[in-house]
Amino acid sequence: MNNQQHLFLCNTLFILAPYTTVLVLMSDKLKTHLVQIEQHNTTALEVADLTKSFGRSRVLNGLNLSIDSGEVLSVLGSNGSGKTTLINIISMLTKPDRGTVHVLRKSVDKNPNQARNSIGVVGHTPMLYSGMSALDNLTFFGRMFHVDNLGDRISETTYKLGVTDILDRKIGDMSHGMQKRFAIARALLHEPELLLMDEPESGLDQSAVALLRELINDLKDSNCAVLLVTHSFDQAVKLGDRVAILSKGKIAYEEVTKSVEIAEIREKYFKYSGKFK
Amino acid sequence: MNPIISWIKFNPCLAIFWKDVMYEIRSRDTLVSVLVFSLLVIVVFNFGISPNPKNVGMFAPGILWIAFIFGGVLGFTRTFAIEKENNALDGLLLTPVSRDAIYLGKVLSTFTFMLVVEIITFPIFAVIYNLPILSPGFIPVALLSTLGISAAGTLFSAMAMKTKAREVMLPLLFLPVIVPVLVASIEASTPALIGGPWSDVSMWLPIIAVFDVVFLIVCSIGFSYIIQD
Repeated sequence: MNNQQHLFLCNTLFILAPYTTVLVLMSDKLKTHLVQIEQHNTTALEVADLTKSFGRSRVLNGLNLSIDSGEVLSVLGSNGSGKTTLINIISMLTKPDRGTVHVLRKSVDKNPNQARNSIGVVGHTPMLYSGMSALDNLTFFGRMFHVDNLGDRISETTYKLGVTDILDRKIGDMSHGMQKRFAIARALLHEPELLLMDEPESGLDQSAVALLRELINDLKDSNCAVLLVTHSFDQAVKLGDRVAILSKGKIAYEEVTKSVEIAEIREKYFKYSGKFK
Repeated sequence: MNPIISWIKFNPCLAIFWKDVMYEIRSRDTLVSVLVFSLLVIVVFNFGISPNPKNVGMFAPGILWIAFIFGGVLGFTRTFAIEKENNALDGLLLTPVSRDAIYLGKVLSTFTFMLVVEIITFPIFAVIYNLPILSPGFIPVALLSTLGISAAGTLFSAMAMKTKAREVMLPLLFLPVIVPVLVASIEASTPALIGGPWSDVSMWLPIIAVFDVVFLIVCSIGFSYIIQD
């Protein structure tokens, strides 16, 4: 090795050494980051060929949809289009006639309790005991979900929803809006990775709707996937990363909210839901 | 946390049982109505039959168990009524808890409520029909029979909840099924109440116990199917 070659090698090592050290030191952080990216891109919900009939009426007809972790999918549809049936099938309250549901890449048929642990549901009704206080309700459901540090978790969730000071009131004595807030608290108590919301804005006042919007954004940041089923066009577009329109038991139209004009989505909604402009 | 305390705290059966007990303590809906109804049946039969020391041993056990079962039917209609309000049952079904655990939790609470009614009713019954208040032989009969009644009643209560004519359907479904336990309970209670030999009581206990086991197994399997939409 001549002097020139020796010098070149020394210089190269001198330049590369700090980079190598930094890379080695950062490798753990990089790995964590990569895992986070992978998790972020995980499919939280995958529904394939979902079919359900009630008597002669076919409500869902080979429906397919998927949601990634950290994504909000708004499903729009007119009354009777099968929105609630879709939520009920995903949450295992109703059995489909045909089709599969995978939550976090696991079949809900094979791992029902694992799936239930990953899902939070806000339905039409609060699904809370009206004769019990809000605190007793949340404590009961928290225990059923094996929530650690339950007291802290209840405080944290109810604080976010602005209902901490009425925890000792009976659910049956509350207004519909307040019941809905506690229903949301119940659904979030076990930190679900997939949140199913069936017309969550119904019965909520403007401040509560704003709170809901904030909450959904927080959930997105914490990598929770949200399936928002509604017939409110404005809410669907404001909250959803993607918008899908349910018509005749199928997803008739699906688009990323930011990539398309709102007017186009509105036009499609009117077209598929049969609503007049 | 101590593992035993943790087990008690997070056991779904116990959580459902405790929830039902707290609900009942606050509302006092079921216990009071079942208790009053059971006492009324006992009193009405007393007027209808006019028992005397000769025939009281023949009629009294039957009256007692009919009062418990009729009262039980009244209570069973309430068992799932509280779950139906606000669709709380759906909330319960969304939790990662097996349907067997939900069923057993409900059986446990129903069993406890029925026992409380029996503990209050029995001394009054004994006084009215001039029977001994302390009948140790009656305790195992009451415990085993109440378990069987609760096991079947909880299932039929869930079944009736899904029908429109809940109050009519429940006795129609429940009473024919419970007949074997009812007959065995009356047969075992007769010697227990009139001071007959223990062997006459104990010969019926395995029969009631077998029905209890069958009801618990079959009903918990049936419950999973019934509760699903």
